[in-house]
Amino acid sequence: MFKSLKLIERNMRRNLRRTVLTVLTIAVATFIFTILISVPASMDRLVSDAATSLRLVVNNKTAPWGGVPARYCDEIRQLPGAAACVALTGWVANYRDVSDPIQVFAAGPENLDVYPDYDPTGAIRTAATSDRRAAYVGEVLLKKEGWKVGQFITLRGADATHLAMNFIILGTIKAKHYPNVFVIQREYLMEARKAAGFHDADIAWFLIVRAHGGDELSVLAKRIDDHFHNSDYQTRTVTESDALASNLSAVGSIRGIVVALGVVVILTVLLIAANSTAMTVRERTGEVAIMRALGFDRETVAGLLFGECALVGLMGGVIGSALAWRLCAGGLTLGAVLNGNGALWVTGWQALAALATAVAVSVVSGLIPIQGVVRMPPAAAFRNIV
Amino acid sequence: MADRYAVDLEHVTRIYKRDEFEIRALDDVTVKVPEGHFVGIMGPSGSGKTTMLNLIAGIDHPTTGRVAVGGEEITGMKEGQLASWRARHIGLVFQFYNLIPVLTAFENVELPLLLTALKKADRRSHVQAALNSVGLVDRMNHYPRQLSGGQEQRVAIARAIVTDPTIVVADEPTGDLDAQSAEDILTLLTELNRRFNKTIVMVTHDARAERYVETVFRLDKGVLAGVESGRAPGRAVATSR
Repeated sequence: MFKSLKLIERNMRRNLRRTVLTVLTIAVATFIFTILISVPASMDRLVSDAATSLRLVVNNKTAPWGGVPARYCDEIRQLPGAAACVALTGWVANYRDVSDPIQVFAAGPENLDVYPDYDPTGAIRTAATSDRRAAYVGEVLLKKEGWKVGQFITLRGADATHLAMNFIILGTIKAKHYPNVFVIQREYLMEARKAAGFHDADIAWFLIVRAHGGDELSVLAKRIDDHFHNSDYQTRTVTESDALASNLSAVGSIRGIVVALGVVVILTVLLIAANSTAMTVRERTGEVAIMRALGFDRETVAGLLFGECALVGLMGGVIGSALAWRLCAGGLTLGAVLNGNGALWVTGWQALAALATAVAVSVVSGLIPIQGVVRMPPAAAFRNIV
Repeated sequence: MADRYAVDLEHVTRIYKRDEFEIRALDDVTVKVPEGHFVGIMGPSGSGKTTMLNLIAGIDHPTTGRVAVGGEEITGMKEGQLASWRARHIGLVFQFYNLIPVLTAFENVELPLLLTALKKADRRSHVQAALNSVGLVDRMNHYPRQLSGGQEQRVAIARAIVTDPTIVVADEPTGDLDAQSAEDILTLLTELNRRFNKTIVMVTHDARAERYVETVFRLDKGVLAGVESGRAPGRAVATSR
């Protein structure tokens, strides 16, 4: 075994440039593949995390982008089964990179009643009420932008308002929901909008309602919609997970695209690795014949060649999957994509799955050339090389 | 008492198919080589020398006829059995040495021993003994690219004898060497034959080889054209019947 590994290792160093290039090709492909397989899993994670929450999303029924009056929250809080309600107004803004906008949500202090997991210690509530410029930020976004708690930042509106607003980051949201979120005081945003000539202070993008218990979610949703039936702004209330799923499906068949891209990546690396293996095996025809003639059986010789393929795949796979894991283990924000819900997480299992795929693809790439050379009788192989 | 034959070919024919053509590389050849003999197979290119050697070494199968080596018939053996049989009974020497370039001389010689149950220390002593017998023990950590052609061939010979095979087969072992190195290799093979009573079958074009071998089989167009005594002092003569 040790001797075999030694021989494999020496053979890999024989044409170092080719080995390095093949390893790098597999590393890049594995990196892309790891990210790709994490996309649907990250989507599922968002939805499944939301499925355990007790929250409902209240939208405008007749014009989904028309918004809902923020004052509706006062009435919803009075309905049986409703524990808390908050009106959220979105604002797409830029920090430094205009190509990478940030989805900001403006909410009142009751936001922390709706999302109690944002502030388990109460520190954010205390900080947020101390300064109208207070903002609290999901830790993935915080990490990506390199912000620190206590830091002053200026965001510029990427919408028609072109507002430039100053904020002070007073808290980090450790919750796994919405790690990408940037929450500011709604009153502060609305005053700024009013000053800029936008008189829409009472209109929120949507309302979020927290129910007292999971059993009451569907009843409460119906109760809310019935309550505002025939009003100026009729509502459509869904669970948070349904809203997220609908949001995610709105950007097209991500799963289909991801699967297609994954197949393309695997096929590409398979062909590249197969070409590299074919060249390697062709160069080794004589040596394979020698080993066979010395008495090594086909399986042993094939094992050495497959071992080399597997080691190349392993090295590339480790580099690619480790890089993807390091980059995305803590979550990678996708900015304002998917209303700020978009974040990628690469788990250890996904990295391992991608690594196993890299090794498997590398081994499969050797099937045809290696079988061809080990099945060739030694005498025929000698005739071919002489 | 009759000699025991190291090599016994009976009515062996080997036909290759190349596209629509049939090439009769060996045609009804019968050869017997007693144990401990050093024999040469000579003849022009395409006369079937290497084919005959491959059949003796068990790396090719006859189309018809019977091949027995060391008293064991190998004609009907399957590929896996043949591989294991070769590991135990055959030492191979080639014209172009065919050492594994990424292994040192020591490791190249050790290669066939990896197929045995020998422990590392035993393998080491076997390899050192084999390299010592070809006079290269001081170069055992050198890679093939760091050796001359003659030295590479001597390493190949050490690899061929390290398992103490029944028979050593050598295909044009001097074909790629200068005159002095060729003489050295032929002398070395003769020594191995004499000191260790090792049966050696050597294919060669080299007329000088006649001085070293005991018997010469001459092939022409796949047919055994003659059996001659070599100029080396011989024992019982190998025969074609």
